[in-house]
Amino acid sequence: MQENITLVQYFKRYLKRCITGPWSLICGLSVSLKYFLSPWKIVTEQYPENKKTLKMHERYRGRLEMVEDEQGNNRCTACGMCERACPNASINVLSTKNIAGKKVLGRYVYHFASCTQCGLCVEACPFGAIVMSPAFEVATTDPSSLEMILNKKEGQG
Amino acid sequence: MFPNLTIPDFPLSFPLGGMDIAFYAVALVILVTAVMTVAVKNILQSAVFLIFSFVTTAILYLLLHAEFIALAQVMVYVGGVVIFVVFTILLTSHLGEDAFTTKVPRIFTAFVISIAFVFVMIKCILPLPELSSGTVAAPDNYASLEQFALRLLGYGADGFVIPFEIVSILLLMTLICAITVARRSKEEKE
Amino acid sequence: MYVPSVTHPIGDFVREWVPKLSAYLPEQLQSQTLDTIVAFLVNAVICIVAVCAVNIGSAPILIYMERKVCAHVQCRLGPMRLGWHGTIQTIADVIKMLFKEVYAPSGADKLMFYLAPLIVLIAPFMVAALIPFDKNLVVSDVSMGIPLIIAVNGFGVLGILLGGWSSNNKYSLLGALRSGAQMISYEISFAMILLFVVMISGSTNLMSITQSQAGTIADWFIFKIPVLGFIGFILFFISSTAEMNRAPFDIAEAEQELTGGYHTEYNGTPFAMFYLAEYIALVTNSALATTCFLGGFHAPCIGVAFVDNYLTMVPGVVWFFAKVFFMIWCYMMVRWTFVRPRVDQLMDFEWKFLLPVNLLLLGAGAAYIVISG
Repeated sequence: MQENITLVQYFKRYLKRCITGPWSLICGLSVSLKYFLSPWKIVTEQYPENKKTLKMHERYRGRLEMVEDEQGNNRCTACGMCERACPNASINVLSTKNIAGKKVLGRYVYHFASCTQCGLCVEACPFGAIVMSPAFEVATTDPSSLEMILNKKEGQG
Repeated sequence: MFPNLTIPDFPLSFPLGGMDIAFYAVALVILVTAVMTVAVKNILQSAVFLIFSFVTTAILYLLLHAEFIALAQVMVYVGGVVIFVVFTILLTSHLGEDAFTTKVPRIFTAFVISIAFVFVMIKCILPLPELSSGTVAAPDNYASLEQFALRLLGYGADGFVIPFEIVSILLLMTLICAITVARRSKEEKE
Repeated sequence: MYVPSVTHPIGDFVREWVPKLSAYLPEQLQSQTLDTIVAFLVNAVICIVAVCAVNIGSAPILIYMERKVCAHVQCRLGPMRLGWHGTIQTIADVIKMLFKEVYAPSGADKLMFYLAPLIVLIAPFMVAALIPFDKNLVVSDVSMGIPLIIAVNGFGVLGILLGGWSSNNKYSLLGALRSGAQMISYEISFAMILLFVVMISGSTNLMSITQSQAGTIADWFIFKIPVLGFIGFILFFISSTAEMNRAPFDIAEAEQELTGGYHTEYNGTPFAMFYLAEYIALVTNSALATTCFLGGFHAPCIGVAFVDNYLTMVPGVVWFFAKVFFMIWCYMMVRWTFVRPRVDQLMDFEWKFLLPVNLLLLGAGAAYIVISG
């Protein structure tokens, strides 16, 4: 395992380490000193106190939501891609037929209790009909409220 | 240790003196811990009692104004020797867990040896006039660090520089021996 | 004859007032001997209370400070709920810890188990009694301060070894053995740096070490000897960090490997004592660094008479504690920045780097003293 080096090489390496080692330590210390001296960089939120001003990060994945326009129309075509993508079967897309006999969304049933907010359904949706909302105060005392129907209207297709 | 100190009529003579009370208290603790060291079955507890015995001996030295000796006692025995004893006990598994029985002849031998030791000690120590009368005291600063260092490293008539250097060479030898023993030999590596 | 006494003005004050008060006693009871003994006992109690107050009182402050420093280094806020900015959080923690039930694991050696935290506390308390906080604010101004500090440091190792062994737990035993080896190794360089200070100041008394740094900042030992002082200070910093078992040298605890090391099985008050010992050691080591390298209680005078007049108006205690808390802050920044080395790396560092550098430093210091006269 041990490589053979001359004494001169050994001392060169030793001295080099004597300089590079402390230098790396100083670099590390300067970083922590920088953060110590800049309190505005603190990311902790004082949650219940700043409830009114708190803004969630846009990448936060909360409850599943359906994208709806002003009239409450959604873009879902009841293709069922999200249902298939869901790893723990939290989504049931119940389709129905409209007057023209075309398959449209009837009820979009979402079991929030078993959802892990992984976001695979959002990635799977080809129409961008569902998003993860930034709502994070989702605790409830009523388990039946965790079964929800996301769409207000039946789908237009 | 505390200059400019004058406390006039502190009773320092024998029967009631504070120093005497301190001496007898410390001596009692030394005796109790020394007996406990031998009497306790658990070997680690015995090591701990040995430490207390050493520390109280150091306090005895302090009462005799030999401050450096007291500190060296704590440094060498508590900080060094007993720590290594404890280390050895910890590294050796199941040492002292079995309660071994002792037979009468062993106790008898121990008794004879200790009696002989006490006899020799009394025979050697009592003839010294300073000890039997108890009046002669060492001059001031006799055992202070400066005096100690000057005599230890002095190369005059009463200096001890040559024994000191010999001891340091002995310690160096011990270090080198320890490294040689602990070093992995070449055959073992291959 | 050796009579223990307290040389501080408070001691003189007590010695002056005890006879005056004893004049009110009945005639038969009055004696000068009694006065002397009572005055000594009162002084002793004052000393003990002072040491305990400084040590035990500083621990909650330090725990709060550690949490805050750690949080701000990591872009967090730290405790914020209890009191203003979480100031009484640590007091709540201490109360919780003191009211917990104390019990030992089955198969533990009960005597050793409860003795170990007490032994760990010996060293920091003894060192705290030696530190001069101001010109005449020192509990025991002994002539052999530095040897005493080196001597009592051995008790820390002993307490950790006993605590780890008596817990009857293999993680505790492993942690204790590792930290025992570490502390014994680093004790050598710790003692050598203190020897370097003794060599420069020519005294082992902490008060005269401080007094020999009187003057401007340039007279402090960290700057007095051109480069060597600073190197010595850095080496002292490293070896005292290892001696205290603080991160990055917290091989003894190493939560990720040893589930807490030697105090895995401790809870309640005994655990609080281990914790307390750790933080008191932080104070005493910072105070020692302040005394030995940063000029103790002397004001940081810069040689300009106008500024120096104002600086020396501040009492020495304030300067002392300002320096101590600066040192503690340095220890904390190092703790929350650096990663823990492996055990073998730690030993390599001590025996292959720190010890040779220490020896070289001692030689260079001796050469400097000879050359500069």
